[in-house]
Amino acid sequence: METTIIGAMPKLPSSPGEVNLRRTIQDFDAGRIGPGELEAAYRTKEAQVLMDQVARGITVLGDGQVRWDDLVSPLGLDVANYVPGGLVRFFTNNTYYRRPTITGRLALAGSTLAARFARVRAQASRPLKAALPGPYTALTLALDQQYTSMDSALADACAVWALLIEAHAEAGAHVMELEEPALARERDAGRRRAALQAIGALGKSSPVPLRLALYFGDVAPWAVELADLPLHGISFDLAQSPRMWDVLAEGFPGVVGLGLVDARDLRFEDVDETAARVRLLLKRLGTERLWLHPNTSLEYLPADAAMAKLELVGEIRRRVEREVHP
Amino acid sequence: MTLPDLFPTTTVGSFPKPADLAQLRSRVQQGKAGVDELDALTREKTRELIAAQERVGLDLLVHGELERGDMVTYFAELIEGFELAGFVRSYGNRYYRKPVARRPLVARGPMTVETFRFAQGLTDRPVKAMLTGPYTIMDWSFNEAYPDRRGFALAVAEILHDEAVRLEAAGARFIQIDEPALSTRPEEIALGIEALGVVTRGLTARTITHICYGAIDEVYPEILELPVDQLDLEAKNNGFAVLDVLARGPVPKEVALGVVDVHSHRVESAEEVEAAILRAAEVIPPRQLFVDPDCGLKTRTEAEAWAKLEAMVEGVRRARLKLG
Repeated sequence: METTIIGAMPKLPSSPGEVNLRRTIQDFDAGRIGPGELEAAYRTKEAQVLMDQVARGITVLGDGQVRWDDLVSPLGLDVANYVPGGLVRFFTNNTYYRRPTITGRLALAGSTLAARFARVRAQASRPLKAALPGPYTALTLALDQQYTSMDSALADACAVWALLIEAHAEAGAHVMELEEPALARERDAGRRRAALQAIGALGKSSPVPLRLALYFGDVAPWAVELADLPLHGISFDLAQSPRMWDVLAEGFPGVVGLGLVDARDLRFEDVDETAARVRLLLKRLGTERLWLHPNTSLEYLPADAAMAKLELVGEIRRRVEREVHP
Repeated sequence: MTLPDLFPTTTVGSFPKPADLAQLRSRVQQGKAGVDELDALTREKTRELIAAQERVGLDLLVHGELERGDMVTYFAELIEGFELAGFVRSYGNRYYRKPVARRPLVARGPMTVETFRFAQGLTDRPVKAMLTGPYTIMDWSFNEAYPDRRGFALAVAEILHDEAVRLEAAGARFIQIDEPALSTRPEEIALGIEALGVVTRGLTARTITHICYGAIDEVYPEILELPVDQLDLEAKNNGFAVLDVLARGPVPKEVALGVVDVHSHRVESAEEVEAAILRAAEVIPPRQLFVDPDCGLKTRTEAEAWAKLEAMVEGVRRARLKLG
């Protein structure tokens, strides 16, 4: 049974003595430090994010998207005609993203994200997972001035995503994860079908195991649509989609990710109760097919609470394994 | 002073913070300046803001929310039982302290009445009293005090109801209750309606709720059941798609329609605004139509904000000539 994170980690220090990226960026913006010192702070924080995960028993690390301002705007670095714009609310959160405008046909324009990933990979002592927003979320959150249909947009986007995935594979990604909150919340069956078809095609061509992270929505009513996707596995948000516990208990293909710690709630999940639910799934799915993680990015919590929630993921895993292999 | 019969102009609530005020707020937070100094400067800037709104020709004014940072945190700091958790990222390198309800909530007393009274005392034109709605306060806070979201939202609603009653007693003819979170969870629209109903219960002032950046089509037609007199809706940002939604049936309430985009640097032309109003008037009975920006203007520079408002007022003037 592996443990991992979903997407981003908090940028603020969780304990005294750690690099304070917020203050460093403020110092840079105010002209008090130069680009070299800013870059050094980023690299220190990237290393810290890896150490934080290792210290809390995470086995498949994430890079924590330390340099990302939001989920989608970094794509503008590598995807042509995907231009970040004004701030818009990010789903149901009191956080924002720069809403991109699609100003022309999407195409690969660079490899900055993969290069950044490679640098973090070089520091990682354990397998490192790469994470990108999925094509459907990237398109849904953008203002589209180019494409006349979602199908044509998805066709181009998937061709670009295949190249992004390839670049991250070459950069040493152990596994690739596409974050798809927009898909998790999609109620239109036709749009879901188009998105899943596109993601399935990416799964078939991916040179590394490809995972899907579905959060912020209840996918249980249409989980059957996910069962045949040619993916390494899917991660579910069990806070938003609690009925998935029952759906998964009936059996589910691939390596299932259990988002069993709510990263948008300060309250702590009960370790005994959660471990008991995981054990029920173990009987059906087996230890090799379960990953444990928070339901979404830990950035929605203050840094100290985020670390405590991550600790909880490790604790649940230890509790389950202790009882399975006493 | 009464509102014009056709297309009264207003704004959603917040204005850009003047640089000197923002700097002083920062110094107060660092303990380098006093709260009294900040209050005095905030009043001075509010006075200037009221005068500027009159100059540009707005009909229904706001105090500008210069004393507020985050719209939820502001109220949480004034309600017993809330604490501020650690910093959570808002965007990029911007953070805010997210509230957490640690204990059952209790009002400490009036929260916005003095600010309203001060602003209304500066002008003969009506000033909107501004509250953040119970659903939004609940949704954007951590909860450790209530067993469920409904209980949390309704507790906040009772506190806001008492505040709304106080505002009405202080002379507020318009009370706006902002609910930007309401349209982001269509499955909870019934809770939003219930909680807002607690706030507006028994009020005689005209009540408004502002909703933005969500899936309005997914909360239609339930949105028409919101217990307020006026829906204030973002529209420009989404190419006025909300008009297609409202066109599905009768519009039984006043609608304040956003005709300038607060997330764009580009200043709309008066012609664009006029065209938007004429288009909207085909869906919303003209005498039920108010005109304003999509959302609070605090995201824009002062120059951009005023340029947009000047274009909006001119566009309204032209539309009134055509339809008046």
